[in-house]
Amino acid sequence: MKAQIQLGENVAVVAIVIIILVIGITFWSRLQQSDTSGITRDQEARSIIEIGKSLSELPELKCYQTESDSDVNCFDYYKLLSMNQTIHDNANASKYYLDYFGNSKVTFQLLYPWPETNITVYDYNSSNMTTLRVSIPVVIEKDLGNNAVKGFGLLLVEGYYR
Amino acid sequence: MSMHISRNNIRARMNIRGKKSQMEAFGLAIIVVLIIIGFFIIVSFRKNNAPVNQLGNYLPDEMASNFVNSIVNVNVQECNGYSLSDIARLCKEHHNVGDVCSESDACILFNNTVTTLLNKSLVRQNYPFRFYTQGLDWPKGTDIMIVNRGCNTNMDRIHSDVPIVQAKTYQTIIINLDICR
Repeated sequence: MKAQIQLGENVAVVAIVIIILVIGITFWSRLQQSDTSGITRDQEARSIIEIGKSLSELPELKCYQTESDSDVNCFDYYKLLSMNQTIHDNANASKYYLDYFGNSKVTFQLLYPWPETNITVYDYNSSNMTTLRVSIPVVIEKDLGNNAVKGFGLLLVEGYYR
Repeated sequence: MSMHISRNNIRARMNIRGKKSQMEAFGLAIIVVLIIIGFFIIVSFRKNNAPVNQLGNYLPDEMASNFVNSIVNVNVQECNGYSLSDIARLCKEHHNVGDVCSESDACILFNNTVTTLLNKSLVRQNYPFRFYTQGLDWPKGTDIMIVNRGCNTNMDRIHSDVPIVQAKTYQTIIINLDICR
């Protein structure tokens, strides 16, 4: 009888410890899950911003700059038009830049002094969900020399993720 | 006598056994309390070390710095070949620009152009901001101040500015933009 009582006590202690452990593990795994999903969202958003920043270094798009203008994100209007034409004419053109820009859409929005126009220079979409849209103010240069006009626009980068 | 001693012995043994079980229960309770305190410490530590929303700072920061750096290079529609920084310098010198622009007052031209650019970008995207100039001295004795969505100096904000230096006088006009969070 005494041994049975002692055994019962031990079983109760073990059961309580197991319950506490299960609650702890469940709680811990939920904390880890929320952390992981936050990090993934942050990384996706960062990759979109990186695309926006790397675009201003592309010789295919950037405008001829003098030393004093080097801090400004400046794009050549005719290069943008040419890139837009290329991706419309050739379906594989966007694939060439896939390693750089991934699943995203890059559009230049001309705002001033010209009428508002959108020029899409890259669009590769393997899924339909847009996670983040980043807009960066930029200078868009049309023509050179005495006829040069520097306008104001926005560089819009949208990221597609599943 | 012997009967009395044995009864006392039994009582003493029962007291010891009772105290032992009480101590066991107390020990178990201490373990449970320690585990709960441990969880609370872990949760509070994780909350304090939660990753700062760097993206929330980064986007307005990029917007502010790129906006002020871009607009000073933009050519003003009403003037042939003059950038906004040229117009700001002419405004500072109170020059009449009627011969090269469709508007004779350079300061009005500067103010109108900045307002148009802000409306087409930051206002449209609902950014709360304070755009202001320093050293322009227009309107007389003050400077330009454009505020959107009640952004003020008491709010947490990201600042960006760009200086425009006048070659002749070495005076500086500063274009400022604060984006509130």
